[in-house]
Amino acid sequence: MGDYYDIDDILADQQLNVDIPGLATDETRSNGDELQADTTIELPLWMAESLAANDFVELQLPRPYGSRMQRILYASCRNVNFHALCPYFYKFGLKLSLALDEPQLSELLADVYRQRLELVLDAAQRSDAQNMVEFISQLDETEKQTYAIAKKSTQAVRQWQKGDAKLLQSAEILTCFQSAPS
Amino acid sequence: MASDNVFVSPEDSVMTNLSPMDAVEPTVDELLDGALSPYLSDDQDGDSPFVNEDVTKLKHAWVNEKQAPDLLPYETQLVEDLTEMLQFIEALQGEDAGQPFTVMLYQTEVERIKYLLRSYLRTRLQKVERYAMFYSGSEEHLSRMSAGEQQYIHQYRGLFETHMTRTCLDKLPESLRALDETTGNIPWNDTAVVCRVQQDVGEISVTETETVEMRRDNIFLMPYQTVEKLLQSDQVVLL
Amino acid sequence: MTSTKPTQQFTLPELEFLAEDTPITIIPTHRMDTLHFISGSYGPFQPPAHIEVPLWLARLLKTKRRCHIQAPTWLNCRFLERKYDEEQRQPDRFSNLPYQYLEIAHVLVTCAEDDIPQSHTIKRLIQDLREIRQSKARAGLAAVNPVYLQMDHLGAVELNEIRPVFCQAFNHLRKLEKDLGDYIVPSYEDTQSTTSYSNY
Repeated sequence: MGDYYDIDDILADQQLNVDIPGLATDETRSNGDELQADTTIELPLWMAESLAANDFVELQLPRPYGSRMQRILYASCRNVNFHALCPYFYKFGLKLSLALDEPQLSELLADVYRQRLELVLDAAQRSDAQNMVEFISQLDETEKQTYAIAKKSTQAVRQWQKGDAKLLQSAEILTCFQSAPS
Repeated sequence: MASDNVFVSPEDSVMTNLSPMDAVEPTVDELLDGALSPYLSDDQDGDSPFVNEDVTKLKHAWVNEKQAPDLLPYETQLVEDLTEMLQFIEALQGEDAGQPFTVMLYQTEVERIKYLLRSYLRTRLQKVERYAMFYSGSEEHLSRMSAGEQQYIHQYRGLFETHMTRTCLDKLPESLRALDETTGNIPWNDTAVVCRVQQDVGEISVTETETVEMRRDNIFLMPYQTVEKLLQSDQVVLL
Repeated sequence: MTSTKPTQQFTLPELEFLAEDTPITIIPTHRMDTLHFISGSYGPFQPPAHIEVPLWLARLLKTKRRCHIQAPTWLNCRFLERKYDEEQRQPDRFSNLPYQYLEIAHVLVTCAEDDIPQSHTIKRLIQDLREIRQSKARAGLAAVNPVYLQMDHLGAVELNEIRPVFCQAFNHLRKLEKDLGDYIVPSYEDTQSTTSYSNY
């Protein structure tokens, strides 16, 4: 979380879906044509953000975060395929809510996150991993990360109870070297 | 949130966990509770005269260090005393081997303490490396390090800078080559930690309007910032 | 870049190591003088007198057939069954067990199975307790919020197991729940995005 070198964090900045009904300027070009004012185009958030900061454009919530989707999420968020909506649903949503100054969006996200969390943890702690593939494919990257760490710590306990855990372990980097074909 | 939850959150002001144990058979419960008391917390109180507190303290220091996002002050005295002890014992064993079985027992303890010491020092070095750019520019953090750690961080920073310059920064325009305290990771003190209250603390404020009462043996999940002061004064330990 | 990322997680053997200083009562089978360790002195060992030693020493003596281990008062079927009932009766809290109950039980049933009456049943009961408490903790996740969470009586292994998820959820919600005003993540995240541009 908030890692300087976190590639996910950088990728979350590049999600291509901020709709911009533009007060487009002469400098903004698309396919060589000048953009007219009031045109709606999609730009990466990092670009849209700086354009908006200089009042070149006005930002609009992209569809996965729009009012229709928000209503669906309020009703029930448990079966929504977040990965299809946006792989970085929460991270990007948070950036959006800050950029567009929409506090109710991050509130909704917090609520949704909390509700889905129990499902994620439940899936991670089950011993039958079979039916989980589909469920996991519908999680956003943050949730997948949560799933992975939950699974790892539960498995560690199981392994220990079975009696195969050692106090001294070889460093990960050594294992990499050893398993690398020479 | 629902008050039938196992965890107490700010919304439930009633501390359900503090209610007495079930009253069905109080005598048996009392008996069993009494039996539990030595196990209820992981530190041994000094009522037995032959216990050296240093090992317990080092154990706490290691756990605290592992849990805290930021570097804690170095336990100079503790590490020095225990290192001396270890050297003393090892020298003693060199002279007079004694019974092989007893030697083996002593050797086991020596190895346990060495393991603890190494774990403690290694945990610190991981932080020193990860936040090398930031720490090496912060007097406050440098003062929490041992002489060895200070030397280490300066050399590490040197290596890091050379590496970055050679592999990457040299190829960039002049204006993008800055490498200073703001580059790289900064410890994030708002992150959550779990702590146990060692002695009654009373009310502490967790937001501008909310307070929470911290009593002995309570376990809390809280932002590190909230408990940092209490940790320094040994009123809480991290778990 | 940094080689090893600091982690809050303990490995299970590390937790076991930490629990091995717990005092345990043994009945020595061999006579032995007082042992003077760095961490304390134990002895003299005079069979059949009971004596309290740290768990690591008890385990060592046991594996060398130099003692019998007396199971702690809580490590018996009757007590564990009562605790299980208590867990069932009270869905809103954890019963009070020794902080390191899982580690101590694990060490003892592994190395001193013959000294512990009904060790098979005990293993099963411990597992039952672990499972009911695990599902309680999971349900408790609904209470996660960005301010604090009180989780009394949770054991070391249990805490270590749920910590990564709870901490991540806690931190994540702290970022999301803006209405907490100054409780939102401080400038770190912001400085990060501005400085990172200059480094691209």
